[in-house]
Amino acid sequence: MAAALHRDHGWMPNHDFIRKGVHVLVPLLSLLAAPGRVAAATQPHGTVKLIAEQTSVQPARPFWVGLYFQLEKGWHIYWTNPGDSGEPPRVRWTLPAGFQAGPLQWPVPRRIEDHSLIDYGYPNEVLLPVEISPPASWAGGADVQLSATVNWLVCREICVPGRAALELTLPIRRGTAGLPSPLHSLFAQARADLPRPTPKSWKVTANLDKHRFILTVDTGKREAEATFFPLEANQIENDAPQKGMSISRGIQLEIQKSDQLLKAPAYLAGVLVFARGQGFVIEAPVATSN
Amino acid sequence: MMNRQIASFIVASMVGLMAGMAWAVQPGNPAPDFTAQDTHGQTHTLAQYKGKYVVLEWHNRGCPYTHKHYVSGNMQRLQREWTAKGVVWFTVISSAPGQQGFMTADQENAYLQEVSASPTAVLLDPTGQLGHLYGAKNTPHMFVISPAGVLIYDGAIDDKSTADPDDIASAHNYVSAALQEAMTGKPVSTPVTRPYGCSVKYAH
Repeated sequence: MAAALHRDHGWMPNHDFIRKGVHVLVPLLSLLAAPGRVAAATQPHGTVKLIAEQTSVQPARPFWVGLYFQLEKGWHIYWTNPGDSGEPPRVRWTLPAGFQAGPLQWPVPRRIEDHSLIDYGYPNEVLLPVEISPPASWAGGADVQLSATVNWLVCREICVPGRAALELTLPIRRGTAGLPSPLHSLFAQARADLPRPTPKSWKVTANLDKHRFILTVDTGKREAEATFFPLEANQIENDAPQKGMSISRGIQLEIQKSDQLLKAPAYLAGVLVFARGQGFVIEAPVATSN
Repeated sequence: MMNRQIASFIVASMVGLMAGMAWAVQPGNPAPDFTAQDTHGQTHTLAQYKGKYVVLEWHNRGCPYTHKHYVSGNMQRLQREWTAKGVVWFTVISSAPGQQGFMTADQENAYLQEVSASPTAVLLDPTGQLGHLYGAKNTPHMFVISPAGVLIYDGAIDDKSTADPDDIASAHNYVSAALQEAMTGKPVSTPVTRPYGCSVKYAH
């Protein structure tokens, strides 16, 4: 089932996260108030930090933290489906009793050329947000201590694995929303870059013949350009160019099928990114023809 | 009358057509034949090993994923185990000169000794011809070919796509599984997986 597929991969954008993104404008001065401690690890070719959106947390209120990667110029890390090589960052959390960490959220990736292959990832910098939920019954007490063990791979021509144990302590402030942390604008940007659910009015279908998928996205208006990022490995040839054709009510993409695809999938699932950079989660039922 | 230009156009078209018609390197299809030189100057073709299982292991000693399987001794163990059972094991290096993992024959022979590796031979493919023929994408990218010359496995070495040697103990090894199943007359249950690792460092 398609819905189960998303849950299994833990990658669906959290809509709550997108909705909450509207309230981040605040006077600059307040940014200096009581920032949460920020833990960072510098490794070859980049730095990763565990950061929080707000300077404090409230009992029983979920809040957002994130892994913020800042890489040397030209180096990249990977999307949830890394494409032809590499692997996505992974995180293991150690949290106070009863706290839960949601899945990493993945902003729209880029196609990155790597020795005639195509990787899907993030050059230079990216914030991968995560929602932390305290237990409903939690009354608050001492500060909240979050620990994350992060593994990642950073590449440019060659690849170097990174590993860091990061910690972040956030104070509890009862009855008052936490102030935006000095790094909160990164969360606003990450929210803007997360793929959105497909509007209900759209129609998305795919046809598979011997060599290619034809992905048809009916958005109601002519679309100039789009790029498809598959969720699953071994469905499309990542390194083949995608041929886009503008149609009166959207766009059609011709995408070469992977040689490794032995049987037609029920769905072509992934993220479709339009020229203006906005991504949408799509799930196209696949019809086959020979 | 056919002039030279038309003749060369037809030849060019036929070459293009044949390239287009070439079957995908895909389990169930014949594995494409190749000719390659090893680090002792010996030439090997796939055809000469008809009747034997053949494993191809794409290799780059600088790649953290290759390193994972060598620093742990996992790859050497697999090479010893399967060559002892009559399998021909080719380690293939498709790194172009100047790229990570490129090795001269002497360098590679010294490395094999240093890490106690024992493939049947290491094939040097600095032009990337063999790599492109098989569509090798990663190091390590693994292929298994049956005694009949049919590709029976194409993909990752195992199901833990990380660079962490600690993950090997709990990993399911696809190459061993394919060889075990095929040798006991069973169909290979997982003939294709997504290979994981670094990109093969072909010439740009």
